[in-house]
Amino acid sequence: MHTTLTSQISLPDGLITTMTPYAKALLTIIAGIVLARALSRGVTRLLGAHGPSQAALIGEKLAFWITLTLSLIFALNQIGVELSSVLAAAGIATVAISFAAQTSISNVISGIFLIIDRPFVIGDTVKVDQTLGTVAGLGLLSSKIRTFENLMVRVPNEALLKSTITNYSALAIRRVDVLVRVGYDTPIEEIQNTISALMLEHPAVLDEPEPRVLTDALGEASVSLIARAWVVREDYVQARSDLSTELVKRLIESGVTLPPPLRFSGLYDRAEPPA
Amino acid sequence: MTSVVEHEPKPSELDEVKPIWPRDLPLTALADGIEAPYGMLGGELEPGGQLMLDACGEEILIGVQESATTLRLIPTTGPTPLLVFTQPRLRCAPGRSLNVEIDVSLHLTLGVGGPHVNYTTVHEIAPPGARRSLYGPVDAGIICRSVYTRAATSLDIRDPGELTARLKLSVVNSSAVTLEVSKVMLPVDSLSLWQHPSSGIFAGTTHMKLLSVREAELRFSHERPDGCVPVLGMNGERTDNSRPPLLFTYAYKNKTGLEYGF
Repeated sequence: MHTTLTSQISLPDGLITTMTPYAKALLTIIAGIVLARALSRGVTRLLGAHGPSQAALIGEKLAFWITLTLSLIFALNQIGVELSSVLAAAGIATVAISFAAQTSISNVISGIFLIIDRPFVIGDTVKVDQTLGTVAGLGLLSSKIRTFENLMVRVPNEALLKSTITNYSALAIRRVDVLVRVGYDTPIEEIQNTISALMLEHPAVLDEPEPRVLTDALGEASVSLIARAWVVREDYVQARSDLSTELVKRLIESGVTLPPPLRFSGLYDRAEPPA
Repeated sequence: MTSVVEHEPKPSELDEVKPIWPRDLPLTALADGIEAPYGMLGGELEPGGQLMLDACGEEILIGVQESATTLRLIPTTGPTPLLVFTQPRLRCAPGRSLNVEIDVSLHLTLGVGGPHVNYTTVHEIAPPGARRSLYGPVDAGIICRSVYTRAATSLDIRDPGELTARLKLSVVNSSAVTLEVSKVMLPVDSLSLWQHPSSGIFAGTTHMKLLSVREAELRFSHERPDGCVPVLGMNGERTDNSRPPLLFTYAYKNKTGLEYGF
């Protein structure tokens, strides 16, 4: 049987000798792909369990591409391409690519720094420059922020690293500040007590740190009061709206003058300048 | 440091007291409405194991096991730590001690189950008007439930069905200056609840040792008060576990400029 098969599929010895390195190279690449996938899965599992999820995302990609690149180099070596010449070519290519892909590489490095610095994690509410939203993902080149208007904003990692980032999810409680202007005829201390009591009536306002009402500024036609209350982060938006509404209602009910912004203007005869 | 000695009641002792809690209500009886400590409880068992529960005005549709027959009510301290503000504040001279009683409002926890099926917690009713406070600095504090309560050497007798736990607070000032206790933070599971058929619920003794302006040690005694039996968990488990002493060392003023000590 064996003799029959050999006689039927008879390949020239030279061809077999020629094909063997190519077959080995192909096997190396296939093994490389399998290994890269296994490694990236392992890295995801390891970093996902012990670190931030964005580190797992980037680690997975890095592990995959580094393993695949190395297997390609070994495969090229199998078919007789000198490793030293490949590395030399890679060096030249790296320089060329570095110039061409300066921004991309900068973004990748910035992404790594962002993982180390951890100014936020996926799911945090952040403000980056003028973009306010929830961090939806952190990639090799860019991060995605989903705004509250449900728009997906892509921010390059380099820009993110250079920007001022405000993280609204880092701490458990937030302070609500409500600014009120009252007339000079208002009994300030009495109104401060009224506002403090009103804030304590709101179920979201924390008893401690206790709400405070401070005189902020003495304006041209009004006294500015600033009412400060602390709430749990999740209650902030609703509490701010409720407190602003209730505060105006209560002040109007109490007969407090809420002067509108005033501008004094007049017409004068050019011949007679104003005194 | 004094060690906490636990007193395990003998089964015969437990049999002497007829406990008020848990309160078991047949699900079928909910249709007419039943008066509970914080309001009316109503409900209707719908086909397919669904219970439409009206818990003090709040309607909730709960998926329950078809073999469930009973709504079980038990008092608990709730899911968050308690921050107890005493009225009046307690001032203690150096080397002296204070012993007061305070009443701490409790949550009402509802579970559904029956003789042949385990009870599962399905809802928790907070005391009416429950508020929250932060214990600690604004960047690292713990959200607690505020409890405003009167402190006295001896408080009046309560209705045994009232959902408050009477707690004995013992303050010892071992520092060299007079110190004031404006609040006491009681972590989750720090209190053991006991019940007495005619005197209500008790929460043992909390020992507070003032070490300095910024340091206090809290120890929770889990000794069974006279004539009491423990308030058991949803499936009859003991909840009066011992807890190691806690040391509170906060320097709020240094960090925030505000007075948020104990």
